[in-house]
Amino acid sequence: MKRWFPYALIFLAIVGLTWQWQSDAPATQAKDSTQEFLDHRYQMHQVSMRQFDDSGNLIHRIDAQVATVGEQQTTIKQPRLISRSESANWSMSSKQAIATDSFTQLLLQGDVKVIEHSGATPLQIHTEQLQYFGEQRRLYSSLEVIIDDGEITLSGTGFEVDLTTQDYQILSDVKGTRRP
Amino acid sequence: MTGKQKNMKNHRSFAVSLMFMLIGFSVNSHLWASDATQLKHCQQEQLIANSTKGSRKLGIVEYRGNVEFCNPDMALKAELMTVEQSEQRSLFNASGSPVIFLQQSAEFTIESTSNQLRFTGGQQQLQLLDNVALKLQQTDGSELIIHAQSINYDYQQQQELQPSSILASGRPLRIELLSANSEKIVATAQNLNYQHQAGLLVLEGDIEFKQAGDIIRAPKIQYNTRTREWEAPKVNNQRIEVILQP
Repeated sequence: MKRWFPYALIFLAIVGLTWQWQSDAPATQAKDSTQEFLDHRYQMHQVSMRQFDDSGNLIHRIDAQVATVGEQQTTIKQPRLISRSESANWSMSSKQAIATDSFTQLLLQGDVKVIEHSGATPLQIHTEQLQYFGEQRRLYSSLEVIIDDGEITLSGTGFEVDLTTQDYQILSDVKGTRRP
Repeated sequence: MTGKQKNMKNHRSFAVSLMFMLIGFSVNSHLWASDATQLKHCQQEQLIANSTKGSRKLGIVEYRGNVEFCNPDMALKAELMTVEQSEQRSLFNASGSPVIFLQQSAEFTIESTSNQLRFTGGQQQLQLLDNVALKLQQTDGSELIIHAQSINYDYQQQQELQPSSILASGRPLRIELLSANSEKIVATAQNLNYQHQAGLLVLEGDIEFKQAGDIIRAPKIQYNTRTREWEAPKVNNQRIEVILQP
């Protein structure tokens, strides 16, 4: 009996190691990049994407340096967004943006600049954060804003812009100056 | 009621009347005083408002709530103001209770209060509507004050604020004309037409015209602001009544 005891110990050790190797195996598989992609957790560099509505009309084009895709939202670094309609030609940029609802809504954050180029003088909007609604073609913010139409510079708190009609509203504390 | 009680009642009603008179006077004097102190021209166009709404396609910007505006030509205070800008003209529409408006040049000062105002920059035209009070002052000390329902003020082209004509109407309108040597004319009428270059003031409709104690009641009066002579032409055989100070 004593003679078989070391063999039994070696057998048990082999069984234990095999068991541990088997239980570790799935964790190694989870680090597989294919699984990350399927779980919607991955990064894209030098991104450029276009989105169209049900009628095939271009809603916008988004260019970004880095886009980190998560389950609920996508964080975009240095985004540049272009939205065109028959009469308006808008471009937006910021430090980062958080995209939700399949990229049709973006929260642009940090040094947000919006420019409309179609008129004789560009309309420029500067704020620290705004919400972009792509399908409705609207912008909204509750923060301070400066709107410059080339002749008048208006500042205030909170604003809305209709990207199609080019109508804008400043919701409170309006101050304005005209260039001499 | 005893004689003492009657006396007390009379005193009380006199005190109440006096109080209302004083309130009325202070409100009236405050109206012009507030214009002068609250508004100032500014070299660079500036404004403040509670909110604004702009239409880039139409070139119209609307300002709402406690609007204060000034530029080198004018200053105004209103509840609502829309500015329509084009290459040819700037059109300002304002409303409020009241809209307070000020324009000043080296020779003229125009102050007004009204519920509605429309100022056309390029064409140099000022229209005032509802509860209008307008004061036109010249540096020589002469003044024309008009209280009316509506006033149209046309400016002389290329002349800083000098009126070409002032048309006013009201039921009744009231004017005070103070000449440079402090001679005062007070009149009520239904319509007024003032031609500045000719120095001719024409009043029409139920006129009561008071000059140095003399009272003239007539359907029409033409007054020359330079010669200070008046004329009451015959209109449809209507009666003219003249009461001269002895």
